[in-house]
Amino acid sequence: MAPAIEGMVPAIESSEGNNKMNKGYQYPSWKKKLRGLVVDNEELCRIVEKGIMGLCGVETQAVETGEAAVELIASGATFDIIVIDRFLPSMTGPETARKMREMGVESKIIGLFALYFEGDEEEFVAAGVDDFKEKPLSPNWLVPMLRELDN
Amino acid sequence: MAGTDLRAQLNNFIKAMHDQGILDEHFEHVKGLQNEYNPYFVLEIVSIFCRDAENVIAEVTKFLDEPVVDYVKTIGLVHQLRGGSSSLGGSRMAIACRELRQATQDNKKEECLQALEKVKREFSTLHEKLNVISQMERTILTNEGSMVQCIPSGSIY
Repeated sequence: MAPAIEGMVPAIESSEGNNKMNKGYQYPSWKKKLRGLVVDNEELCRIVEKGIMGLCGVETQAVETGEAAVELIASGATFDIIVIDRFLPSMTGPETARKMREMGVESKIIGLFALYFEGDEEEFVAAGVDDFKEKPLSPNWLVPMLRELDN
Repeated sequence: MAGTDLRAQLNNFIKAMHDQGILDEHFEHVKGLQNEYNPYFVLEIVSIFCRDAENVIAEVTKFLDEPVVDYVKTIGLVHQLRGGSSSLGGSRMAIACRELRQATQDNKKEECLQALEKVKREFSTLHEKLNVISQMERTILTNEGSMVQCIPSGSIY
């Protein structure tokens, strides 16, 4: 059973909204339809990150490379929150973030590290990310950020 | 009822793993992604993790066995290993990966080899426990009548 998250209400049997309901705990619902993008080359991480974003009420797509992410945005897709892994196969995480900002993307961009050491964030921050985090991506960390986006 | 008993046994087993620090709260979030639309989620995630971790550990072992170690490639692999461990909730293994990464910082092969041994021990423990969880999940799913012959590809997406 998933743990309680601050501000969450007990589960109700409902299929309304764009959230998955889990027995025991109800993850948040938002006033706006929040859309997210996960950019992570690692299969397990990508699946879990997409799932966690979904549980937190974000309709999420996931891609494996920076190029694929940029292509998606160039095709007109818009997102409220974009999560980018630091180490991507050719176009790195910071390069992807920089490219997105150059394209005019104003979404919340989060840099993700598999392993973080102090100072690692400099390249990401210089590229224009709003925040960074060491994996795993957790609902407790995400929800306050999503609440801001929803307001 | 048998199903309830097994579910309780599984929960107790997972709690014991929490108590030993083998799993952390993130595993609960991962479990929370399993539902009636995705009944095999935990099984598939565990399978992906074990497969990938084994491959990556084998590659790190190969790199560290070389007379001249390619630390850049080794570091990339360690990041991958730590990312998967932490995203699953494998706390002790994630910590062991951090220690290995720390060892690569100084380019000291002997320290790296010792840290790698610890990663292997933690993976072995985690793998064994995850196999038990998978076995129990399979039994529960079979009892609940959800198991089918073939798991459709991409079903966890």
